[in-house]
Amino acid sequence: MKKNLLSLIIFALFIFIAVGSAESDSNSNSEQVQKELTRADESKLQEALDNSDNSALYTSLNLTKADIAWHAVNTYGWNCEEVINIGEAVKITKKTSVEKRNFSDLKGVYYPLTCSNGKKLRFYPRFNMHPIITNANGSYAGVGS
Amino acid sequence: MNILQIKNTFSNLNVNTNIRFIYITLSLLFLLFGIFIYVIFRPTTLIVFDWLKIINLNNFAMFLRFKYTNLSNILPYWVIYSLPFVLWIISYLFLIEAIWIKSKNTFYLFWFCIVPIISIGSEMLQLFGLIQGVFSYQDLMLMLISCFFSYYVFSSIKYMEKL
Repeated sequence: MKKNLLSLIIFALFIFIAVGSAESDSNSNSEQVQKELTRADESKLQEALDNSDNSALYTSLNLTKADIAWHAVNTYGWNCEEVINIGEAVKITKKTSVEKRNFSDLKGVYYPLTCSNGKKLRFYPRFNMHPIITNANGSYAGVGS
Repeated sequence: MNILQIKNTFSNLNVNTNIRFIYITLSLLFLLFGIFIYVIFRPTTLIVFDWLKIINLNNFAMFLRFKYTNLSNILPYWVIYSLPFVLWIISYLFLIEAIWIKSKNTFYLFWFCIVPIISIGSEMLQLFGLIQGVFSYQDLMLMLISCFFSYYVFSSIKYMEKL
């Protein structure tokens, strides 16, 4: 009887941990953000990002298209004066060197960007830092062009 | 009961206590290692981070994330996304084994098998789209390996005891 009770407690603890390892509905959910982002206009993007994360740590999420373009040009040196479209969230696969090197800082997704000159980039939100912006292949090759 | 019988009884008790201690220690190590991977490398969108905020350990978790962030460079994807749950299954099995040591019956079998069956079963249900989630052969394989690993360890210890 005592052993059964102990086993039940251990089982309950296991279930407790398994529940804790699930995605939180109240926090940022990449699928939810993805749905919001398909609406594409800037106010909706801002609203989606605000809803997805309200912690001050996740500052790279509270960015407008203009902010992203500013980082693309000034932080990384991409030729992208204006971001005209932010694509749907794509789950990162840790295949590129940028994703491997910064994996624990990344939010788990990236967003394809389209600049007004047609250039394609990737926008990687990070937890407490400015975003990483790479080329369409997830590397820094061709920066400055 | 003569002196030799009493001595044997105490000897058996000591062996059981030692094995139980080893099982519980290993179980805690597996459990903590799994939690460590989750807290350090997984996105903070998991429910466990809500709990950490409630008990005011969020800042400590963030500190650990920054401290060990570079480790993610050398860890393969499956270590971060599949291994923790497998470690928890092993941890559970070791604890059950510690509780039911030397008293195997139907109840032991029930408690030993319930978690592997639920875990592997839910993965299979994901394969057929019957429950929410993404099926992964990697997860399934690791779960099966963890069960066989635990069974192998327990069998080996039992075998060594007999020698």
